[in-house]
Order: sequence, then structure tokens, then C-alpha cells
Amino acid sequence: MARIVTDYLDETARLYPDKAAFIDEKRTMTFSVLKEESQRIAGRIIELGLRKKPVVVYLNKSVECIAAFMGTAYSGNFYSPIDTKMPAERIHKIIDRLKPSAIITDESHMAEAEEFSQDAKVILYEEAQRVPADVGAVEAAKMSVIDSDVLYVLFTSGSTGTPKGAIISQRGIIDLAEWAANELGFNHETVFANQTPFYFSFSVYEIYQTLKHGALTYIIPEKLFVQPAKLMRYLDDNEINTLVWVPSLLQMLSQFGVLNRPHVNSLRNILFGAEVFQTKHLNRWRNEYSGARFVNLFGPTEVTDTCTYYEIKRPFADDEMLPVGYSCENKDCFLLGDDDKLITQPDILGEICVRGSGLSYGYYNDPENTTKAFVQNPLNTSYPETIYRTGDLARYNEHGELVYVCRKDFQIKHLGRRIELGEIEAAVSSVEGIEDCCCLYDSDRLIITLYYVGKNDSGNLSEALKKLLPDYMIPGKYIKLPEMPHNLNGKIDRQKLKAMMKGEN
Amino acid sequence: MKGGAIMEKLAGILKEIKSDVDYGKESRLFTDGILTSLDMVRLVLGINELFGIEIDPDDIITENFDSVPAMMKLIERYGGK
Repeated sequence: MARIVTDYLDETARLYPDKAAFIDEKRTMTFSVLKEESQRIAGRIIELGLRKKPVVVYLNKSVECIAAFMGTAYSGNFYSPIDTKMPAERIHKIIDRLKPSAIITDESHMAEAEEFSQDAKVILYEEAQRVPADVGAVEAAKMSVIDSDVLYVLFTSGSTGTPKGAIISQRGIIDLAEWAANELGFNHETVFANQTPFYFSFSVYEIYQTLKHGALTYIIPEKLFVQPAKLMRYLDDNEINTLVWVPSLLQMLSQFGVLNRPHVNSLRNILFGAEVFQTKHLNRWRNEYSGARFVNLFGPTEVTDTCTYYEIKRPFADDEMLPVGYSCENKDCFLLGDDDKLITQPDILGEICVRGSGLSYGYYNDPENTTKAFVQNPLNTSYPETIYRTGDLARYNEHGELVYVCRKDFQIKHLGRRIELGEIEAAVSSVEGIEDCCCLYDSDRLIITLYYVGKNDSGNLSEALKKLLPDYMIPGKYIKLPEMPHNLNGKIDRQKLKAMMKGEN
Repeated sequence: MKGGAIMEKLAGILKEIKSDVDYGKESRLFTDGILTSLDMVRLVLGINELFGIEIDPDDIITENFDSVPAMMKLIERYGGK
């Protein structure tokens, strides 16, 4: 049984040295090559004398990212992937918070990396590969790692305008990987088509199931996401049997009517999560792929991606909500009411709270946000026991299944990404000429709508926002108001704006 | 059907999808990620509805949607009006 994640790679590199592990547009990486390249990266990090320190991975989505992650893990440090398309402003905020000791990048991104590196040493992937690893030093570093050590820090949207870095342990990933392997039936014949970016928690399924079993992951070329028929042919050509995707992409294929163009005979497992899958489209998928398993996975980054799951077996009407289901093995999800009392009866709304060794340790260098969300279990007054308050409201249905209802605050899910509208508002407010603003999410049309008061027109405003926010957080619609409506408390009247938004549709 | 009328309808759809893009200038709308997969859904559904056509999924490729002239050519090919 694996203790730390590099045990997975050590074992599969021994069992399947020449089997393909990860394939992208440019390269196929076998398990032995992956281990070799990981160890060379580890060697470079060890030479810098780092231990238990943050290492940023700043690379385009590629097979080399996996070697950079594993190299960091072998060295006894922890990784934090940063999207190469992220605006510089946001990268700076993350770097200020994370204070990385090293940045792994490649020649084509070196100039950018050096610009935001601050005190971090820049490690060039190509250069690290030129020198064989000191295997003895890597082994020694690995032996010092324990399962409670940090494996990675993933940054998610934060309402004050600064992203929050959820800290995930080695143990958290082993815990998730073991549950997923047993419950979802992955093995060395599993062939994934990876969709989600590596800075997004959901990708831990492909990464760690591939390492654990000696499975295979194809990293889907970005350009296929806007070419539905080509994407289906890609799945068929590569005999993909497992998808772990956000519903918006599955819905897109259904909307374009390409589920049978061609019918992908190899497809067996369709797993989805991170946002709501519209039942109408799920039903079209179920009709076309009646022999496949469909599983709804639910959970935030802070619980190592998933805390509940629901396998869809019974029929669901097009307007029926899918449950998020039951706790994963070794995680305990429960509902707390406003009075912090446990809810067990159906149809009473409560906040989903989670216990388990998969819990994040909190947010990196951020005690304030950590103490808000990671709290003593109010049901336990006898010894220290941390729970994570997800901020998600849910209820039990008549079958005892957990059903997600909405966010407690103003956090939304857009294209599967978690966004705090407050972060967008903070960015908008920082733009010269803006007097007041408020963001709403039009969940019917999947558009972030910005209401604002100021001198700016929508063109120069969106230009300014592109420098501050990642693409998926840029509002899709701008509405300039002569005056912002306020309620009696002096707060922006969101209800009034919502009514306006509905009226426009 | 005159190109001008197609252009006008198409401009309406595009503006609705993302109001801040200078569509006249861009020639790599999808290739460069200015528009995303979700925008593609809204664009194709919008074109189908407004022009009374049904674009075959095999034609939903970046070459046909990367610029306004490419989209107009596609719509004309389908006899859109």
C-alpha cells in the first residue's frame, strides 16, 4: 500500500516501464521516462537545498507538468501550478502569498517567470534534463517525506480579491485515490481524456489514477474544445474509456448533437462534477451511452476535490435535480443548521461540513481565511477536531441522498470554475473612473453580468479587466447605470439588480 | 440574400455573445481563445435560429468561425437568410 504519491510512480515505473503514461500533442511519456525526468527535476531542487518549500510550476499544459509535479514531490517539497495564460496582476498576488522558493518553467516562459520570481530560483526544465539525477540523493530526500507533508497548493478565487491557496497533503491524495480506485473501478486499462487544467482540482483524478495503476491519460489539445465532431473522433481514435469532465463540455457535445458522431464504442465511465449537469443533457448522454457508468462527483478543492458522489442509476426527469449523493469512504459529510445543530431530517437546509484526513490544512499564509472555514467541530466538545465548512447549502431528499441547493455567499460556478463575484467586483473597483459596481450571475444564460457606475465604456473597462483577471472571470455583459440602487442598509440592492437582469431576458 | 443583411444579423449575435470584441479586426477568434467553447455553442445555436439553417457538426471547426468573413461564407453556403 502506497504511503506517499511517489510510491505510485516507483511501482508503475517498475511494472510498466515502457507503457505510455501521458500523451499530449507533442509527446508520449512512458512511466520510466516520467520517473527519470521527475528525478532529474528533483535533483535540481535538492541541489538548491530546499525542503518543505513551495515550488511553482509555470508551464503550458503538457506531459512535462506531470514530471515537474512528481519531481517536486520526490524532492520533499510541494508544487503549485500557475496557468501560463493568467494575467500578470493575479500571478503577482499568488506569488506574494505563496513566496515560492523555486519556479519550474521552460525556455519559452523563462522571461515571464523571471519577472515575477522575486526571491525564487528559476529552474529550466530543459536544463534540468541535461544532467542525470543523483539517484541516491533523490532516494534520501524521498525517504524523509511523510504522509502528512504537503503535496500541493491550489489557488482558488477569494472574495477580498486575493486568491486563496488550499493546502493539500500527500495523505489527502492517497485517501482520494484509494477510494476512487475501489469505488469507480479504475485499473491499468483505464484510458482517460483529460479536459480540466492542472491548476484545477478535478485533474487529480487523471494524474493520480494514471500513476497508481499504470493507466493512460491523453491530454486533449485545447483547440478541440471548440470543434465538437473532431473532439468525438479524437475520443474514438484513441479508444478513450473514461471521462472526468466538467458538465459544460458534456452539455456542449449534446447541444451540438454529436454524441453519436461517432458513437465512441470504448466509452465506459463518464464522471463529472464541479458544476451542475443539466439533467436534459445528461439524459441524452445516458440514452446514447446506455452501457456506461455515470457518476456525479461533488466537493471543493479544500477536501481534496471530492467529498460526496452519486452514481446515476434510476431515471431522472429533465427538470429533476441530480443528487450529490453520499460521503466518499473515509470522509464524513454532514449538514449543520444555522444553530450548528446536526440535520438528519429530509428537506431541511443546512451547510455541508466535512471531516476526514483528506481535508486541506487551510489556506497558505492566510490565517484569517483559514480560521473562518476550518473550525472546531461544533458537535465535538471533547478534543480538537477540525471540520471544513464548505459554504454550500444542501438538504436530504426522501431517499436520504444529499441534494445541493446553492452557495451560502455570493460564490458562483461558471464553466466549472469557482468564482467569488466579490473578486471580480474588487478588480472592477480598482479600474480608474469606476465609481460603483456589482456583479451578478445570470445562471440561465451562463453569463457574468456587471452593473457599474462610472465614466468608462464597456470596451475600455473589459480591456482593463483582462490585465487583472483570468479569462473565465471576465464579465460577458456590461451594463452602465446612472446610479447604483441601494437598499435601506446602504448596501447595493442585489435583488433589484436581479429583477432588472430577469427583465432584460 | 445580400451580404449586408447577413452581416447585420451576425453582428447582432456576436455582440450579444461578447460585447467587447472588435470583430472586424480579429481573424483568430477561436484559435487564439478570444471566444471559448461555450461561446461556440451560443454562436452556432444563434446562427441556426436567426438564419433558419442547421449547421452540420462537421462544419463546426475553427476555420469556419475564426473571423466574420469566414462565418459569412459559411452562412451563405447554407443559404442562410
